[in-house]
Amino acid sequence: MTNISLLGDDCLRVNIEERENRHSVADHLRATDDWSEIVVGKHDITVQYEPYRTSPNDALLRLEKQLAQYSPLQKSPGTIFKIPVSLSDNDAPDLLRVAQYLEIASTALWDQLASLTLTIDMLGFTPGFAYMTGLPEAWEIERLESPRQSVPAGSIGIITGQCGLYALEGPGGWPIIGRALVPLFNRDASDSPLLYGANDRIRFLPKEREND
Amino acid sequence: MIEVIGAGAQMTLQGAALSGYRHLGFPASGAADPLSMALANHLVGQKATQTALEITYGNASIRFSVPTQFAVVGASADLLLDKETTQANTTITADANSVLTIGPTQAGARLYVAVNGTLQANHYLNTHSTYLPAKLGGHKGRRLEQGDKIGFKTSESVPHKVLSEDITFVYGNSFALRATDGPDLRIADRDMMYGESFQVSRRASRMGVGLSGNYPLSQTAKTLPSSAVFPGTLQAPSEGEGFLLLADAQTTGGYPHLLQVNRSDRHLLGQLKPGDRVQFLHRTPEQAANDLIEKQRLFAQYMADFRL
Repeated sequence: MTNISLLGDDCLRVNIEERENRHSVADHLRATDDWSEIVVGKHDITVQYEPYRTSPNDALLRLEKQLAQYSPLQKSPGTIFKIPVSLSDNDAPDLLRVAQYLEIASTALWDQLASLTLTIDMLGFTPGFAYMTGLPEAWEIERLESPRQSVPAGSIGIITGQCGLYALEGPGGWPIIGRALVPLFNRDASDSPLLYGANDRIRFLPKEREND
Repeated sequence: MIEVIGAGAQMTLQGAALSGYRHLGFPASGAADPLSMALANHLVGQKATQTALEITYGNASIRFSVPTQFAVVGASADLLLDKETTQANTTITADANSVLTIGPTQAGARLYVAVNGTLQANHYLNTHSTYLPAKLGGHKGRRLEQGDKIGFKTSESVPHKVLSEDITFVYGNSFALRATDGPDLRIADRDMMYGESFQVSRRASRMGVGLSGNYPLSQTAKTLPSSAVFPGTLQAPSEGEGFLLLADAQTTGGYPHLLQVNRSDRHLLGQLKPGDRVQFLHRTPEQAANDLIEKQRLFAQYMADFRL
C-alpha cells in the first residue's frame, strides 16, 4: 500500500484497490485529524494538507507512517439502512421505460431490486450522491440522453452496474426509478448531515404503487 | 435592510468555504474569489469570511435602508453612490436610502460588496454561503433578484481604511496562474501544457470555466475511474475544451486531471471571464509551498484570520 504520490501543491494520493480497505483506511486517516479533506475515489484515497503548516515532503512521510499503522483488523462492517421507496409516476418517471428496455415488468424490476443489498462504493459527483454496487450484471441501462437540471431529493437513479441515491436535489443524468420516502440529508446536522456514509449498505422497501 | 434594485448576471450571498465535507460530495462553495471578499470585509472591520455580496459582471445596484459602512473589492467597474462617483478598495459610508450603482465590469469577473454588520443568510453545515444546485444557504438558497430585501444588522462604526497598494489587485484580460502537474499529465506533454496560451470560453460559472486551446491528443475524450478533484483542477477536454474547476465544482471526476492551480493563485480563478487568456506557470510542490507562505505572509500583515 505504498503507492503514494504528491498531487498538485496541497494533496497526496494513495492507490488502494480493495473497496473495504479504502473506506476503513479513510476512517483511520480521518481519526488522526491531520488532513483537511479525505476523499475516497474508485481506486484511491486523496488527502489534502495545509502547505503553510506542513511541507509536501513532511506530509508524504506523515501519510506513509499513518498508512503503515493501519491494521485491517480495525475494519468495521458498514451499517445496513432500510429505505422505504415511492414508485409513483411522479417519483419514478423513468421506471416503465427502463423496465420495458430490460424486457421485464416494472413490478419484477422492483421485486428483484428490493431483494438485493446494495453497497455504497463512494460518495461524490454532487452533495450526498451515493454510488452503489450490487445490481444484477445482466441489467444494461444507459444514462439519459439529456440530463435533468434538477431531480427531487431522494431520487433513485440506475445505470449499468450502478445504482445512485440523490440525497439532495440537483442535476441528474441517470434514469430515475423511485424516490426515498425518508429524508437522506439534514442541513443542520453539521457532524453527520447524511443518513449514510461510504461503505454502508442499503436495502430498498418499495411501497405499494399508487396511481397519482 | 439592503434592497436589490438590480441583480446583474448573478448576485449571491457568500461567506466561508466549506472544509471537511468533500467526502460527502459537498464542494467548497463560498466566494469564487475569497481574497477579494476578505479584503472587502477587512475594510469594514469584519472577519475574512463574513457574509458578503458576490456580484458577477457588475451591472447591479442595491439600496441601503440605513446608514451603512461598505466596501467594494474585486473586478474593476464604475461605482456611483446616488449620483456621485465612489471608489473601490476603501471604506465608504452610505446615507440612509442611498443607492450603490455598479457599472459593467471592465476587467475581472466578480466584485464583492461587504458591509459593516451581519447580512441575514440561511445556514447549512458550517457556512452561510450559497450552493445554488441544491438550494442551500445564502438568500433562500437562490440567486438574488430585483426586489429582494436582505435583512441586515449594523455593527458599531469602524475607522475608515484604504487598501494598501501592495495588497490591491488590478486585473487585466490575461492571467498567469501558478500550477503543479496533475496526476494524469505525461512528462512528454508538460512543455505543451505550460507553453500554451488558453482562452476562457463562454462556458463560465461558479462550477468552472472552459479553456480552449491545444491539449495533448493522448488525453482528450478519455474517461478514467473517478477520483477526487478540487477547485483549480484542470480537466482534459471532453468536448474540445478543457474545464478548470471553481468553488461549486463536483468533488470527484473521471476526466484526466492535467494540472492543479496552486493554492497561492486559486483566488484568481474567480476573476476569469470569457475571452481572457490563461497561461500556466510550472511550480514544483516545494516551490508552490514557498509561494503560498510568502503570499500568506503579505496578507497576514493586514488580516490575521485570512487563509489563501
